[in-house]
Amino acid sequence: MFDKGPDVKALYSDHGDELLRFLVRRTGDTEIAADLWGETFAQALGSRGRFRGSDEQEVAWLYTIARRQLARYYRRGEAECRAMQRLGMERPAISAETEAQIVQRAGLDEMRDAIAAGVAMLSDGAREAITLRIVDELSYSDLASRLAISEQAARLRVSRGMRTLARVLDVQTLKEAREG
Amino acid sequence: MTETSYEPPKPGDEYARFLRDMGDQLEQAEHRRASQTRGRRRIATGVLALGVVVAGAVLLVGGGGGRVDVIAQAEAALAPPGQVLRISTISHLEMRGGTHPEVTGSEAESLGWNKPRTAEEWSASGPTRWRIATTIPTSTRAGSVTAAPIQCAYSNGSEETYNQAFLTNELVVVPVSKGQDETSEESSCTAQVSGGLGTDPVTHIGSMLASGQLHLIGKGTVSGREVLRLTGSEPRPRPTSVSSGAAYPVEYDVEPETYAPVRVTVEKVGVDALGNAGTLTEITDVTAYERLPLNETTAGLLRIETTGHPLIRHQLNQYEQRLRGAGAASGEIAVRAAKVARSAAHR
Repeated sequence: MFDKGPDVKALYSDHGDELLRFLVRRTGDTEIAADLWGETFAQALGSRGRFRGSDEQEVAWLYTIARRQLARYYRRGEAECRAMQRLGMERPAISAETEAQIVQRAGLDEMRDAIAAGVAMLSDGAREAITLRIVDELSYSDLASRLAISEQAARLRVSRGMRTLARVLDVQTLKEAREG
Repeated sequence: MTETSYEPPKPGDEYARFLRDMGDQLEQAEHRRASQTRGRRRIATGVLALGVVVAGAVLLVGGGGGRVDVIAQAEAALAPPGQVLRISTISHLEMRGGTHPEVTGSEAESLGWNKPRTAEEWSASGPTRWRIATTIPTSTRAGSVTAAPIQCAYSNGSEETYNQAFLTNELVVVPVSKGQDETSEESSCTAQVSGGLGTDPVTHIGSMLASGQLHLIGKGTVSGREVLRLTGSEPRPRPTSVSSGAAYPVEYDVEPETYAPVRVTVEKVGVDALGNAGTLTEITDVTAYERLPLNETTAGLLRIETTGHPLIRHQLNQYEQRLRGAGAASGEIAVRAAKVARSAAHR
């Protein structure tokens, strides 16, 4: 250990699985979530020397980094990878079996119903994009073809729709917490 | 909707392998980082020794005579305790190498790509505080695009985001750990700011120079101001997990004495320009970069002043709660809302 600060590997071992679920449930997309997840740990590794909190704050610190990655994704429709690149990290590929497990563990299938119910608050364009991507599970290229727009524009529509839906998802999260 | 399985993955299954592979990546990155740190320390020691030998020597830039001392300049440009650093920017997108520089098309317009964006930020240290005010393009249900005002601020361990136009007049307060001060440029608010200068661009420029991502190529002028031009590349966000994530070419035109940014240009190579020919390029002009004395008036610039009676929401997600072990079993979540005359509270 050469940097002071949190043991990021230990944080990963203890909370990596749960953080991935957290991100999948807020993006509705395993690939995007995994990118955000990898970047979160890379940023944590790169900035841990500047961490000034207590041991109890380490997990909150990790989630704060993740939330910021999420906000950036909502805004731009892209997952950052700068920290991973700086550190020479390559996020492992997700096989079909792995994806199925992630979807199951995150409860994404159940969430799709909630998302479908929440899209009424969206603009027409975002509603259609979210429905096709998250509910009907079209690929971005298929989604772009269906909407006759570029893939980049399709990604932006989905991410911005998800930003709006984040309020719905938070309500669900709150409900779950109370029921839990 | 219920949360599904929280059982640990079974050893040997695909997901467990995926988690292990990522863990290996982290471990290898940690080792590489440690090696790089040791290497940098050795280099720094060598440079220091060399500096003693050639004390007084200066590195001339393009024959002009500006002394390059990145670290000192960067430190000089930071707002020390007792001062407020104010930065204003205006940014726009244009097409380079295309038939015309304007970004056109209904899709680009719906994203606000055809309109300039302004941002203003104030920051101070000891303790760290900052506020950013900007606008974000927001599509209305009728399909038109408006510039919605948004403000964000950090102080005393909490980040506030005030978005008057989004659904409601709401102020969201999110506690962040003390260790997040230095990553303010990664906050949800600064992510909204076009140009991505963050609240501490001089330090960013300094670190890019030190890491070899930027190189000094000479002098120039921007809007009549003499500048040093630094060019290089910055890692770019990637649109998919399988893209190469090649770096964007960047130009930083900086003030020669302080390295404060004057103009930042980012060529977004490979980004779909929504039917426009050429390379989508973001140009951010710094219209103000100044230090103000910290007093009662300027301290007010570091805080969000709300209008009317905003809904104030204190937010802490359930995962943080659970992982901290505070109130997890009962599922308590620190969300509470109250209509408070926020402005009055500040006065």
